[in-house]
Amino acid sequence: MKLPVILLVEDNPGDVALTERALRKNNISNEIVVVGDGQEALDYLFGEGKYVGRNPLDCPALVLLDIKLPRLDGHDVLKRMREDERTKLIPVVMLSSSKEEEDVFESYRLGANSYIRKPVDFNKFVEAIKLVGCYWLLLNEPPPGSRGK
Amino acid sequence: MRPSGRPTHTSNRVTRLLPGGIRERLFLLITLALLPLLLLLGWVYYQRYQIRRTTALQTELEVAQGVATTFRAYIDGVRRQNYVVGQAILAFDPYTEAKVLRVLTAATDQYPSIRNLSWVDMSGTVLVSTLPVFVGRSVSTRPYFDQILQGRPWAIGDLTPRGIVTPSPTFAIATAVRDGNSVLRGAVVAGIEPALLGKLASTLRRPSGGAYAVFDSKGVLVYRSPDPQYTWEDRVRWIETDSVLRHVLETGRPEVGIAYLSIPGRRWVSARVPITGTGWVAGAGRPAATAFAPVRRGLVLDALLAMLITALAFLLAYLIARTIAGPLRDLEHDAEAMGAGEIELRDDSLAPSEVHCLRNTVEAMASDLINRAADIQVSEARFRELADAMPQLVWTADPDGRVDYYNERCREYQGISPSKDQGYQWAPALHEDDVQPTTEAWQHSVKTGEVYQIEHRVRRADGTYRWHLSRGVPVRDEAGNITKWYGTATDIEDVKRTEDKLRQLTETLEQRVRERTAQLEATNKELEAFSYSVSHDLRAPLRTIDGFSLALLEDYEDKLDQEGKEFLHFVRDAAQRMAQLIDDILRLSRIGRAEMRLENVDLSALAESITGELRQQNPDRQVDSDIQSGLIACGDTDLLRIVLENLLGNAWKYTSKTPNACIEFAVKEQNDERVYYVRDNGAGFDMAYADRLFTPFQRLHTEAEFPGTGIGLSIVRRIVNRHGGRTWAEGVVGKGATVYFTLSTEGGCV
Repeated sequence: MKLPVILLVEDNPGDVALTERALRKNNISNEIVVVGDGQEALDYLFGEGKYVGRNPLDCPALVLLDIKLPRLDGHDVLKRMREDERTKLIPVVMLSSSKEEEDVFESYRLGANSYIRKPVDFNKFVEAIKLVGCYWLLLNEPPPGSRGK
Repeated sequence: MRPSGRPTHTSNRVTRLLPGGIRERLFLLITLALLPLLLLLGWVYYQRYQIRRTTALQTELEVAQGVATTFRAYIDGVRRQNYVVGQAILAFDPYTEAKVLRVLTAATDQYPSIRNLSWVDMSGTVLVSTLPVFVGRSVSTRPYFDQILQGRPWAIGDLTPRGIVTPSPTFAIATAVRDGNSVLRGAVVAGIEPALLGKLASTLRRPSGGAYAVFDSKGVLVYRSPDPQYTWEDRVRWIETDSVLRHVLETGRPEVGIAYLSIPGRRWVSARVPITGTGWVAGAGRPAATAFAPVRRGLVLDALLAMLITALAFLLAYLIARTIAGPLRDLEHDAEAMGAGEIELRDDSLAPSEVHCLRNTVEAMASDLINRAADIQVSEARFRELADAMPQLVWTADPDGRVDYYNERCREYQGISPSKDQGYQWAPALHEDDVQPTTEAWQHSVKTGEVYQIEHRVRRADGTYRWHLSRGVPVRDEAGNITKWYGTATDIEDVKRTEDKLRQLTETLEQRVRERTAQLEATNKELEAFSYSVSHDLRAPLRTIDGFSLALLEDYEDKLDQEGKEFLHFVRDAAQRMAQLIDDILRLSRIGRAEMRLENVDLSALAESITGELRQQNPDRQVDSDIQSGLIACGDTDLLRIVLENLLGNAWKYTSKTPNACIEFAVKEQNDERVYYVRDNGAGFDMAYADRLFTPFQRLHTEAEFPGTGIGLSIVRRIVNRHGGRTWAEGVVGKGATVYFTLSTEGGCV
């Protein structure tokens, strides 16, 4: 059985590489789909734009969402996801460099499941990804029917 | 509204009925005293009149009765003579007319009033008469003859306008002549002319205007003395006005009364008495004027006497009133004189004792008044001196709002001058724009009694307008009524100008503050954007540096020598330290922007909690903490917690190499100020660098000695500054350090 994908929305290639590395280091083997901006993330989720033909019901297991993004930012993406029935229940973990209270508060207000501040120390980052991955991919029982066929 | 409450309602009512002056009241008193006397006099007169009337009526009645008796006696005499004559005629044997005539003539001579005497047979035909022309005539139609025929012994005929042969009014007395068998044989008829009765009545002539009369059964006047000559018409008409006569004819009883009689004229006291057996009436009368003349004379005398007495009494009253009212008027005059300040102490020995007393009292009062007036003059002079000495315009006004006094200052103003009827006029001195509001404010105050206060421009004598503050305060009497207004007008032109300048300055200042605030806000926004960018954008590269350094160390471990690995460790340390610095800068800037919520903060409890956490984090360390209890300060709890965290954290950190480490948190009073301090016996510092302690990222120790970025005290200073306080530090190298701070928000919390 094919594991559902993890959607990583991140524009910084360094961060992409490090995040992938952190996931791999934690033995998370799900396919990681990387999109570089908010609009692309939505296109992917709803099977639009360059992702036409993708089944929107084939939901990612987890969305790792940066806040600061080109075009649509992380909060816009989260808002749109939570407004749509198809993506409403997908777990979303915000990944951000920002520790600003407003950012954290706004994320939770819009329905984020977690908020992780990317630490500069990579060891700590790996630790954080480990905890998130373990929780949302292994321990968490997803809502019925959310797994892609 | 008089203060005295003594007069009651009833006495008020009485007073209202009484005349005002003493003299008038005295006159009223005398009038009231004389009134019973006059009434008595009237009663006596009335009584006397009544007696006189009764007497007069009685007299007339008696006279009338006398007349009746006399006339009846006359009639009786005539009819008896007739009878005797008749009997003589029957006795004639032989009967001759000559003999009869002789007897008749002899009988006629006896009674002058008898005009003729006739012998009449049973058919009423005159057989013999002293009046020859009468013979052969018939009297059968006369009522008296009918009476004879009907069997009466005698009869009297009413007065007729004329006899059968005589032209003047006549009446007849007839006597039946019967023989021994009582058979009627004829009658003797005496024809009587009333005018001739005077001879008979001369004995009854009355003095003093009295009169008497005889009326026949129809009320026709038969005879009246003293004036027997009446026409037939007058005789018949008499009864029309003689009500007494009519009454007697109806009732047959004597009657008296006073009535106006038209035939003789005037009012008469009349008595009418029936003459028995004849149906005729006798009358007597006197003019009422004559009858009551004595009474009237008495009345006139009495009235004159009463008037004399009354006049005397009033004269006396006038004199007495003068002795009462006069001294009172004198007293009033003197009191007025005293009131006007002309002291005139006089004695009035003629005055009644009460007035005398009053005079003494008034004099005492007056002298008291004069003393007081003198006092008032002194005090008023003082008031005026004071008022004139004042730099303000001082004024007073009566309760109606008319200004009645200005101090000397008013000379400095143009337009304020006394006018005849309205006191001082102040409106002309006002700026035309201020006249209406000022007048309204003043009228409002006068109406309501509220303090009057207004700012307005007043023209000074040099023609310039200057702003003045006018203020008026009412003075009230005990009853709360306004008796006077006292006021001032103060020149506030200079103050106004200063105020204006100040206002302009303030406005400029405010404008600048607004501009600066706007600038600051803009800067703040930029700073926020910068902070955000710092936190986000500057960290991302650091993370990449650190992450890939680690990736290198991990993935290329075998290709790197020891030195290369060390270099990568330096790279990672630097990246992480830079991330720490960035975080510190953000914290510092966030503290500057954070909103403050002032409340009472228990600093002692905060300190205890923080040291508790420090002990938990470093369980292997032995540190004595001495925290003064009950330190309550006003400030933002979160920020003050950061202050104590930093200070206690520093103390904890810098005592890490000190045995018997001791940390103290307490307060001391210094120059009336509460100074909080955190003291330790740790590494201390060189006082030469004391000021650099509070500069961000300035450190006096190496990272190796004591870790840290050097942001803590900068944050402390910033927070304390935001609380309006100060921070400073004292230290000795190796002996420890003390950091002090104050909070000016003390007492700012409830």
